Amino acid sequence: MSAKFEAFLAKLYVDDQARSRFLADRRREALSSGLAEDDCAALENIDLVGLELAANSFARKRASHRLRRPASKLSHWLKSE
Amino acid sequence: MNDRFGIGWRPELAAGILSNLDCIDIIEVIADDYFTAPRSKRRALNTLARQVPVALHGVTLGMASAVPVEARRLERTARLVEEVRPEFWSEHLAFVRGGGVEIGHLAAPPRTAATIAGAARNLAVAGQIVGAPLLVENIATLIDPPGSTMSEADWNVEILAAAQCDLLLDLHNLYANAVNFGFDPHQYIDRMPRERIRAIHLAGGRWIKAKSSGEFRLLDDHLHDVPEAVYNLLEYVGEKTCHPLTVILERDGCYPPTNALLNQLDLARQALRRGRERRRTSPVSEAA
Amino acid sequence: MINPLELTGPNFLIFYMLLGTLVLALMYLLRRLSESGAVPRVDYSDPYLIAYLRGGELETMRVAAVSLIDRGFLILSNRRLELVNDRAIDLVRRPVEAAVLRRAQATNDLMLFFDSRTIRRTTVEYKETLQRLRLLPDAHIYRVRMLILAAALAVLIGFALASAVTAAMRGRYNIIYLILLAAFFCGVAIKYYNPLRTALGDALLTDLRTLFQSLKNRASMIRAGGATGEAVLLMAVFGINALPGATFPAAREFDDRRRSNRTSCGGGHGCHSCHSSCSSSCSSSSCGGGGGSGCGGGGGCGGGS
Repeated sequence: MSAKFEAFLAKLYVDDQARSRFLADRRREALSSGLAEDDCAALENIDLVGLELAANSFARKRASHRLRRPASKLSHWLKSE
Repeated sequence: MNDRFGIGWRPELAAGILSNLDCIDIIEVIADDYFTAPRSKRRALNTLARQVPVALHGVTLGMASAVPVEARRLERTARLVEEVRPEFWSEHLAFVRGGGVEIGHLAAPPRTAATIAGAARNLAVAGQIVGAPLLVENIATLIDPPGSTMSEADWNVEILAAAQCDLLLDLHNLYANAVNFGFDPHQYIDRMPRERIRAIHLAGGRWIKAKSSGEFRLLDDHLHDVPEAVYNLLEYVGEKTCHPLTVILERDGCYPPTNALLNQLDLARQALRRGRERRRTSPVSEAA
Repeated sequence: MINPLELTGPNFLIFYMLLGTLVLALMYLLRRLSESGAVPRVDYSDPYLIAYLRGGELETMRVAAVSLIDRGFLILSNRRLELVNDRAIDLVRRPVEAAVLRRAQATNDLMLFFDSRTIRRTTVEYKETLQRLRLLPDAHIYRVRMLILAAALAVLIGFALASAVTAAMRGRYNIIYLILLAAFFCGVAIKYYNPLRTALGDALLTDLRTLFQSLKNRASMIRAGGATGEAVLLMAVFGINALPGATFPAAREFDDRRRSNRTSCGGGHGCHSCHSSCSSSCSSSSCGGGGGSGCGGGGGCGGGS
């Protein structure tokens, strides 16, 4: 387990297309990302329900962050002291 | 026993919190809201910190990762800690980014020796750079972290053993994980080194349904009242610990009237008191 | 080195303007420096303490009156404030509120309502608390302000006199612009030497406004009736104007911008009565239910849902 594995997971949680490709062929996607054999095996047995729910939850959280972010740096500067 | 009870600071709750500081022992502030805040906002935070003890709570460092936490993120945490002088600061046993991709929230890393080592290293570096007492929090996860080779309890225990920091035990996170993945939260609490449990988070959540399978899982969304099961876990923690705890209520939205939040703090006080009382009167508990 | 007393004409006037500006700037800086310090612990459970910090005794009385109207203890109708019933006095906690209600028993005329020593006496404790916390000037701070003013006036007037004498000795008697400039800068110095709050008080109020900005942003969602205390807190920190007129019609009647005569009563050194004008009648607000709540994906570490 390494930084590469965490990077793959992060992409899986965030990128809808990457996740669709992964769900279509988990082993191939894992191998093509350069992951080690045991990482690929772990991903073949991934918690699919959790993956769906987590990805949706993360997406909603990112959306709520965007809503709270200032429209632009200029407007943020104007609102500050 | 001087347990303390507080609430997470949210601007929407400012009026209620500041009007009721006699019922609130400590306030927890999201550190990330202030890293790039204008000077006026940081000064206001300092003013708040003069009125009531403050704890800082970070959400974007990503401590439990095989990847080292960026020094610049720790340095800005250190600057904020230096300004505010909180009672303690806390972060999560989570990863939040990978390969340049920001997840946008706390994700459970694989529970492996590599992430234990990574977390321990990150926590040690954080302690050196930031300097203030650090607590680490267990997180809720909707997905059983792929690639895990051990249970959540074992993983947390190993990290605490390897790191010089104490535990912020989030009881709703624990409850949600226990419900979602079928383990006994009491056994988890029993596994933790009790003297290292320094603070408690309480929150609420709701059930969500997976479209693909129709399966339900409990989401820790911080938008609902604390459920009775979590108060029961707090009572259990009170029975198992014999040192003061700081209990913080978290609410991120769907805010009820202030009285309702204060009422939940009162329920927490009662639960912890019951646990303490049970420990005091039970010879078995005293021996444990 | 040029002797400024040797300057004549526009050069001299420019110099005096620069001198006057510098003196005023130094006055401001010296006052800020002498009045700064560590932010004290303040009890925020009483919103009238904050109202007094923001606007002095008159503002405190006005905020109390609007709050009492909102909560149904007073009725504002045809420029008259009337008590709903005599028992209301026993139901309020704060002395200033009880005093306002008692005043409504004695007189209903809004023009004379706040000209009341009785109500003002109930706000004295706020002033004393704020002075003790160095958020309002106490006698010591006032003395320091007077010293700074005296020094500033000494420089302004002294230099003007010296210039006038020098000019007269040289047969130049056209000193009208010098007199006007000196009067202007002295006037500004006198007008602004003794503001309501200390520098520490200003800083605390600014911080409170930052902390309560969210409350102001959702002012339109605050329900009438006083169940949550948010309305009175909003008024205390930001002024009666911050309340939305649609939900709080009484606020419109007490709106600073609509009042024909307006005087601020500062802390410390004398206050005179103030009159409010109301151009239309207003009935009391109904009592609402509990405070508002809103759903949102706020900050914090809860899961996205």
